[in-house]
Amino acid sequence: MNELERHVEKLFRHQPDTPETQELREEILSNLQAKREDLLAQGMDERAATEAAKRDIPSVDGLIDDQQTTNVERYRMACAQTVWLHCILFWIGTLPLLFTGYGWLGTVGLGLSVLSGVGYLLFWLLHPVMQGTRSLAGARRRKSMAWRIWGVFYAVAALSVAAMTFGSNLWYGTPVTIEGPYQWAVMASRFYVPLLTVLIPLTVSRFAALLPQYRVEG
Amino acid sequence: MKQKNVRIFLLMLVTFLVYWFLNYGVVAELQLRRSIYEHAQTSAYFHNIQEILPYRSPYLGDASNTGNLFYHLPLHQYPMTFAIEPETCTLTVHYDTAAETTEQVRENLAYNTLAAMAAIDNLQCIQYEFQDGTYCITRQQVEKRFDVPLSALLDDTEQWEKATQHEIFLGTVLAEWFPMEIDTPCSSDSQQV
Amino acid sequence: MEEQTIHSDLIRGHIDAILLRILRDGDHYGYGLMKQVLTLSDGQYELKEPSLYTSLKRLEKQGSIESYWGDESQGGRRKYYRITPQGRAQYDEALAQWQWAKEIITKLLGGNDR
Repeated sequence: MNELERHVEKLFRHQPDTPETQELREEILSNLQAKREDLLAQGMDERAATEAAKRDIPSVDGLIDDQQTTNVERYRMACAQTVWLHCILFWIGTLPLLFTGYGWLGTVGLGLSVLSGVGYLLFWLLHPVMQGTRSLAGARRRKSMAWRIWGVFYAVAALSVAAMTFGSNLWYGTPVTIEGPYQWAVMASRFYVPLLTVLIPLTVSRFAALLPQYRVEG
Repeated sequence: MKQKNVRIFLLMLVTFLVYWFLNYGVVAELQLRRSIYEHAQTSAYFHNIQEILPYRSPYLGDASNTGNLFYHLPLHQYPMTFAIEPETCTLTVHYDTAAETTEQVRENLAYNTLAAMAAIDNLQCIQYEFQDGTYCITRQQVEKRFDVPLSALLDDTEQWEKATQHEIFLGTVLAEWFPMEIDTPCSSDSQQV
Repeated sequence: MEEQTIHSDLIRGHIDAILLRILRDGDHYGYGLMKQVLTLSDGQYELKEPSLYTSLKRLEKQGSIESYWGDESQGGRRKYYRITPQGRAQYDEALAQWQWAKEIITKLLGGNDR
């Protein structure tokens, strides 16, 4: 029984947790269990029966209605709130850099936080009531694309920093010497600054996670 | 939603306070200390001799090393140019200012001379050119003041401080090394002093 | 099985009507429907889960069938389906259409000559 449960779990892993998917999950599980029982009664051994049941439904693509009727206005407000919060988190992330040559990023953080806060406030004041459909799979696609792009970006950034910092050591075969905490801090900050951009894929991820919360029933 | 908004706003406020404190408090404090330190480095009495230790060299030949050396000594705040005469191991330092109007110029020159000759072993003679005249000082003149080789003076920085960075020492060598009339350029005569 | 694949393509368009026929005689849950299809076809056609769910969803959306949950003592709860009056009408229509089409196509393909 547990193996079938795990199989269904795996099928629904990337699906949003809505009442609809919950029901489908239960229905599929009960049907797979019934099939397994049936095969066992016909004389098949446990292993083969379980496998046969699992084979019957390899994925749930196409079974789940992807289009969600959404309260677009409130969804957008939630997104705007997320952007505001993430700008503040970015700003907090720049605070340790105030002691390094990247201190100006703190001012950038201040500007972004204020701007996004004002933007959110404006949204609050002018909210037009709006409903529409949004694709859940679309949101999920944007999320994974954002993460992939960021992954490539950071890998490139980190490699460039490493090349810049240790390149001449590698080329001439000299050992890397780091004299004192100040040098450590400078080196660490070079890797840390591009890392702050992780807030971008995090924001896109949050957008995808928020969408199911704003579905309109009926 | 509303409660979350309040919390986010408070977070922003706290971040702002921390930012303000760090930026205009701590950072400003650090910058102030740094500028005080840098100002002190322009005076022979407060100079931190450790700054020039990386530029010690047995030979005068390396122009960039010499430049770095003098850049970390008093009077570096004035534009400088250098000329090296390898035959006589003479270094000419041209300061783009008038010696008359420069504060404590003779004390600083005395200090710089001692530091430079202690740092560069084969430096025999230094010629300081100003807009209003030239000084010359030889190694022999300087060595007469000490029982030990000049480079040994740099081995113990505490000793250096005690021996050189005070009125008594600098005051007495002034008269001898840098007389009031500032037109004694280096010539073959002065090298025999 | 080559033969089965060809049949599947031909039958696929009628799955809705087939399910309605089975439900006409009584309520069933998912796996029960699949078993019935296998039995009624004398073991020659096996309805796969994906097609079953897609079809059930479509029929329910159209209002031709209704679903309700049964309580089972072990395992998960089962979703049962029952036909609605609209479903019965839809079935009658589909059957009539099929019989008409069957007649014409047989004529066109020259089946009567054999």
